[in-house]
Amino acid sequence: MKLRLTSIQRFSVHDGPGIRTTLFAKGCSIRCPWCANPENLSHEIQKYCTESGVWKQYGEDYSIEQVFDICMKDKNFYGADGGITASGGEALLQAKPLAELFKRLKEEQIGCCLETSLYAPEKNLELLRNYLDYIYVDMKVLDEERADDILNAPLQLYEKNLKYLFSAFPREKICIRIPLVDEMTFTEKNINVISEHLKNFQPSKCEIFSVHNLGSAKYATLNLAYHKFRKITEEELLKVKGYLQKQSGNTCFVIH
Amino acid sequence: MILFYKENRVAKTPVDALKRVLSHFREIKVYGGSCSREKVLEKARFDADGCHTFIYTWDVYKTVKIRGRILGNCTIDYRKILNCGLSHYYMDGEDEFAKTNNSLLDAILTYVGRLADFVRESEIANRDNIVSYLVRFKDEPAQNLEEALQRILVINQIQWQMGHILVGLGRLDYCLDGYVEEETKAKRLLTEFFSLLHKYYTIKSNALMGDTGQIVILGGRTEEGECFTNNYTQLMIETIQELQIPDPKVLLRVNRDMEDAAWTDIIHVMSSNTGSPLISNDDEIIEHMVSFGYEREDANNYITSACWEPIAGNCYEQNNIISLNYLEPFERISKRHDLQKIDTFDRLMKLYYEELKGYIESITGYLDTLKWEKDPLYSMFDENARRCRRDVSTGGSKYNNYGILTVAMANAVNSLNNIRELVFEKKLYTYEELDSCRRANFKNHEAEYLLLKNADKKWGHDEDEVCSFVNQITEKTQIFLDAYENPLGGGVKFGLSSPHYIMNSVDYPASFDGRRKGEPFSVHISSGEGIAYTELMNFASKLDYSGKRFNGNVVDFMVMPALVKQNIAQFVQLIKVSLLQGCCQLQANVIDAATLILAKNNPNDFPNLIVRVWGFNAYFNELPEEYKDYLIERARQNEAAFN
Repeated sequence: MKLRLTSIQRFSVHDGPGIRTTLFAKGCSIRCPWCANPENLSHEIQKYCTESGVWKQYGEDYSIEQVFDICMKDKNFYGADGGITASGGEALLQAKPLAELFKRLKEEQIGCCLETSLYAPEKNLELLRNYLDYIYVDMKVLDEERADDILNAPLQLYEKNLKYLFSAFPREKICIRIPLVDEMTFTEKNINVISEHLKNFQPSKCEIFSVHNLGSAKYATLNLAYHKFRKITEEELLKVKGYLQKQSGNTCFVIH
Repeated sequence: MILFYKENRVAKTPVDALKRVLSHFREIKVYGGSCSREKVLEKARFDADGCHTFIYTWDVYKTVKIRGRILGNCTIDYRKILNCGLSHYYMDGEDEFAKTNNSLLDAILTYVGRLADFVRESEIANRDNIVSYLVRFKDEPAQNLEEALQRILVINQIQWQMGHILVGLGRLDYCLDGYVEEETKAKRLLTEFFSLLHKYYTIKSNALMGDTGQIVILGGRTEEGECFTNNYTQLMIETIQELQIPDPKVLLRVNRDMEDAAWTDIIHVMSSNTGSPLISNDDEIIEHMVSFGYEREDANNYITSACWEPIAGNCYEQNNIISLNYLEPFERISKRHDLQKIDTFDRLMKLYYEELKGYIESITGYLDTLKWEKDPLYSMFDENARRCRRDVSTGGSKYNNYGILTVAMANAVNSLNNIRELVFEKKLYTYEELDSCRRANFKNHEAEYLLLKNADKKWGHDEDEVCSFVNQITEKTQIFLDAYENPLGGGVKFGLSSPHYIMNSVDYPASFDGRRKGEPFSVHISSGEGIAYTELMNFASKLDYSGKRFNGNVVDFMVMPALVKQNIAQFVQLIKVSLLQGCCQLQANVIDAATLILAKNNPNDFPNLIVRVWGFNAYFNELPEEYKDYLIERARQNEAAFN
């Protein structure tokens, strides 16, 4: 059993509490036009040429043992809060090897976290159920008239998994992440639907942020068209934060 | 000449620097012959610029003629000077040591008397108190913080006046322990104290602007081994931080018994980007010093030379005499051996060590030639020298070891790894072919250059194989140094840090790690592109600093300000665990590449931007361009790991 990853980032501080090692899974089930990590979209290993003319590849197959050994290198640094985060791409698509890895990490008392779009079969979430200490869930386009088209995936699947998630895990373990993208997720209607969801599910925490435009170089290496989006202003972020807090009663944070 | 050189570093044009020196031409006087120190003290003029509560003055135009090398990077034990008057240092007897000592002490007391007269006639606000402190200096202990600080300033200025360089400040919080002062007043006093020490910044700066050697050691352990901090520890850190000046700089001694809140304070201070503090790990350093041969109470009381080289308190060891360059054996192999016969990696390593041994012999040969200027001032304050009536410059101190530094270990390790892979594993080139590309500075060998430059760099990765390879090289180094006894009767120690990563790389031939001729060597224990902090720290923790290898081993890293400010708890964890695992010393530049580039292009917009250079802090604008560029490059490489 192998895990196909594009990178393993040590001393990761943006993907969960404490010091973490983040595993970027290769392959994703949705196609967000603003994606900053296009190398994680396809599950296939992709070769590319760097600016200095060196051939490299996006993606590598790791045995569970290999990933476990890398994760263990920073065990002393994780402390009580830190640990491992599976991100991507969509890490849930590789739930089977991931469950194997997380099982071993939990035996070492290392915290495990998942960052997911929830666009994956429900059984995959079940596979990880016993090992997750924390889950970041994206809330992107929930406007049912536009979601399927923008993300190229069925919203129904997301909704179903979201319900399962909140039934399977205590709300304290769940943080909602909302990327604000002009004319995509940042529309009045979409924000209203998100607000309804927050009100219904009551996650412990909610983070909103503007997407950055740092991925352009990677798009070029993959010969993919790159869409640049207007950066959401601080004022707009704060306004959305205030609205969501008021409507849903959830604690929201703006992150940068 | 020296004055011109120093003034020229900050003058708009060399002509301005020359004018400034010439305007003081009549004041310039170098005193030689017998009693030269006494003459300087007799003739030195005083100034009261910047003085309100204290007097601090150095006549930079009067100095002692230095024939050999003067002891530098030293710190007098201020505690004893605070606890008794100067007359305590008179000696009985008619021997040469006692006569020299007493003659200099007479001159010092006369100098202090003249200084009191100067203050009495001056407009200094606190003149009455200062005069009484100076009068009491002869026979009385210092009674309060203000008097203690004034006493330290006077002894400090006398060292500079005698021609000493890189004069340290020692364990200031420890030596001021017991002087109770209300916090607001203490802070006001310390603010002026540190400002005055910054007064002759340009002239005090040695190799580069900022390289003054004015290091304040804080925290640590008592001689008995108890964890030590007091109110002054934090207050001094705060004061220097608020002054936003690069000098004096702080070295903070830390240990595993410190409370969590103290670690958080450290990270907050680091994030303010004044270059301080350098963090020094007592749990490692003290043990290494003890096993090297220092008595435990001396090791517990360690200070450092100008940057990071540990030294027992109250002695005058010379700790940063020369840098050993780990690339040098490659040059020697090129010149002395038949390269066609290098057909295995083992054969190469055998030659590398053979040449390293020869190179080290040439270094120890150089150490034997050093002649130190007689030093009655430092001998006066050295208990052991007084006891055995032998000048510290000839081995009168309790400890008389030499310290050397090393550069380019990372370049050498990455070079050896590249050679192993390309020559002996993949067999793409012979050693001779690859060496020929290198010696040609890769001219017409761009493909080979890219191959070497883009190869996976092993240095900084926490793989056991890499760490043991580094340890093997340092082990050989200490074996080659083992039999050496210096002319003062001490041994020699070394570490993996050096100020010479740019100075010694100028015109130095290209290397097998894809470094072109003249490009800088790697800095201390630092990482290249794409290595996470945890990995670098694990790597540094696995290096062996035992035996002779503890003479400064600094992990030097760059951090983006936002990253540390938004993740204080994570950085506390990072630093704490790194030290618990065995890192010896840490220092950071909390700055991003974009700011450095802006500052380089628009210096007027960043007059107070402070950066950490090899072991000191400096204004970015005052650094030579190659140092600015290297900092920018290193910041870029660091940021690549997060994008």
